[in-house]
Amino acid sequence: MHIAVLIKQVPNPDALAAVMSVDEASLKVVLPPGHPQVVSPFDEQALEAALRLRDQVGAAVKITAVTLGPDSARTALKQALSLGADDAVHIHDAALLDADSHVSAHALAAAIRKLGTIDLVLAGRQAADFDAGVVGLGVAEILGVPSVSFACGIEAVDGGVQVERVLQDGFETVQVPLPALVTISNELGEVRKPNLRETMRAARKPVAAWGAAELGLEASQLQPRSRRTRLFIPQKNTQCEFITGATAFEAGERLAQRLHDARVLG
Amino acid sequence: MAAEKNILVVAEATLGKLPPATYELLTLARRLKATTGGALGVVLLEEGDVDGASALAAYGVDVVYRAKCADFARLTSEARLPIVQAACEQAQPAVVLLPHGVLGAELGPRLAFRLDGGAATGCVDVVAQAGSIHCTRPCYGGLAREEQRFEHGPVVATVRAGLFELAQPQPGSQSSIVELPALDPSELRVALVKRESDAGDGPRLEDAKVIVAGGRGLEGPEGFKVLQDLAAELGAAVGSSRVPCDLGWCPHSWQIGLTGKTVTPDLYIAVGISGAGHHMAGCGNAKTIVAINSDPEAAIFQDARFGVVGDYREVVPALAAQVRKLKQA
Ligand SMILES: Cc1cc2nc3c(=O)[nH]c(=O)nc-3n(C[C@H](O)[C@H](O)[C@H](O)COP(=O)(O)OP(=O)(O)OC[C@H]3O[C@@H](n4cnc5c(N)ncnc54)[C@H](O)[C@@H]3O)c2cc1C
Ligand SMILES: Nc1ncnc2c1ncn2[C@@H]1O[C@H](COP(=O)(O)O)[C@@H](O)[C@H]1O
Repeated sequence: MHIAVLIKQVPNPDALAAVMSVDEASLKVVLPPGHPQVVSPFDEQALEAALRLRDQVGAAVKITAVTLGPDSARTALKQALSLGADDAVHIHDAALLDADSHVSAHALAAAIRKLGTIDLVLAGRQAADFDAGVVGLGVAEILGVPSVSFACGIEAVDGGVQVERVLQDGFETVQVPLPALVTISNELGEVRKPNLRETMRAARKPVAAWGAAELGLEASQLQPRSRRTRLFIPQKNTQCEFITGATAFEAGERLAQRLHDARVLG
Repeated sequence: MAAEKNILVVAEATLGKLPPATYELLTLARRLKATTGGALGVVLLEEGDVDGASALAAYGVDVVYRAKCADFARLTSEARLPIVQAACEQAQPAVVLLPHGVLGAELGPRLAFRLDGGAATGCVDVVAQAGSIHCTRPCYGGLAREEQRFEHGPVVATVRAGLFELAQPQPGSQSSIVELPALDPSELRVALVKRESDAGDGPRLEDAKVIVAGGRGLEGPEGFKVLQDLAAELGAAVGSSRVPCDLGWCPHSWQIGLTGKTVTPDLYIAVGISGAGHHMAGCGNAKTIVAINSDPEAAIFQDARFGVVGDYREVVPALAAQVRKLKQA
């Protein structure tokens, strides 16, 4: 089984609130120098899902990490390799730097076609920058393969994979034949840490660099569907009224009275 | 191009009823229609013998594209894709609106690519302006918002719950019905093996007027018992931040936030929740937010209308007891 895992590098999404601002003129997020770039958390979990499939099936599972991004995105691929991916593809082209979901999906789908016999594509449920959740499903549509989204578990079964997925009010288990695309959600759980042996080997694992021309992308596929016209941080104008008391208990009682007086208790 | 003014809403009737999300989308769709001057269509996925089409006629819907299926509820979004695609071929929409739930979040992007259009997920607003469609949506974990402009459509937008009023019937409106070809189950590739619900029997978070939600500050599953006592007094539903779900303190279906549920209660009481953007993305539109947190610097106090700084183990039982007294008085 050959698995392609789509991983995107994003600014570390934890604790962004304190450090992030936006430049409303250039429509870009502004972060302090040195703010870490990481593999988007759901994509880390997509890689983890691939590694678990290999734990289940054995060495016959080949894992290729694929990213579209600037020079720095190479670090994301290195991380995937040191976690156990066998090789990696870096789609790297000035023409693709500001790719929207449409262009990204076409570039990634073209790379998967070029890789040849991919049985399973794994993606994150959404990239932790723009939180779109579009690119993976777009790749499935372009490749004409079925998709299963919001997976929290995946295992190989006869003729395909069995996927457990998260619903609004529970879980469901589905089976899908391969080739297929599955998007992974955080409920998959903890991801493993790089181990020394794989990290040592990672340096020797191949990383291909492909541009738009090598992927054979046509003009229409490079044409974005959307343009960002605004990026802003919504203003908060709530004033918090702190309810106090001699003890926390008393504060709790007073809170009840205050909510009652404000007629918010219904 | 006259045809590219049309608006199409995807609706699903289960157990004989259209969900509130459909009526919210109709409000948005009618507003879009008023700007574009196009026709308003609804793709109606009907289970069994329900007659959702006549229910819709009163809401200013021009055409109902109807597909019937014995057991939609057992099928994944894959089953809906060819049906909605067929409706789009007839309706020629500029905008297709779907609820941003588990089904819509998968169906929407796939449909957008199938139609060679654009996708905008988790939108909080969609407007038609000077011949293009603009979608506003939260990004960066709810910390920021972006507006995207789409010049050529169709634009498939999934829309968050609870942001638009429920549409009211319009006197004198009439709609025609177009029957869509039936689903061919033999084409389906994703097969359901089993489904389990983890929602409790209390009020549903999506419908609740009052929600009490707990976070890591509860310090363990027992904390939810304390919240449940308060919720019982208030007739509230209980929810949580992502942390307790990940730690197994409560069911996953309780998660509120960017990747959990979007809720819009009148009153949201956040207990031991720090107020990360990811969490607020799911509850920031509550009418009144109350925060109970031991850290006076917690970000949640920037979103809260009322706050108590203190240990929830003392504050919450006192709040519950006093609410009971006030009710009795
Ligand atoms: C891509 C992505 C998506 C995410 N999606 C979601 C989502 O959908 N929903 C979500 O909630 N999170 C989500 N998260 C996680 C989010 O970033 C935060 O980590 C999470 O919301 C924090 O949960 P918390 O507030 O319960 O915990 P913490 O941030 O640890 O806060 C605990 C709070 O409890 C207070 N406290 C401690 N003890 C007590 C006590 N005895 N009494 C009262 N207060 C006390 C502390 O002062 C603190 O403020 C996501 C993260 C990422 C990266
Ligand atoms: N530039 C990219 N490189 C590799 N994978 C990507 C890229 N953009 C998106 N993806 C994949 O598609 C998923 C959804 O992304 P998005 O639609 O941007 O939210 C991500 O979790 C990744 O798995």
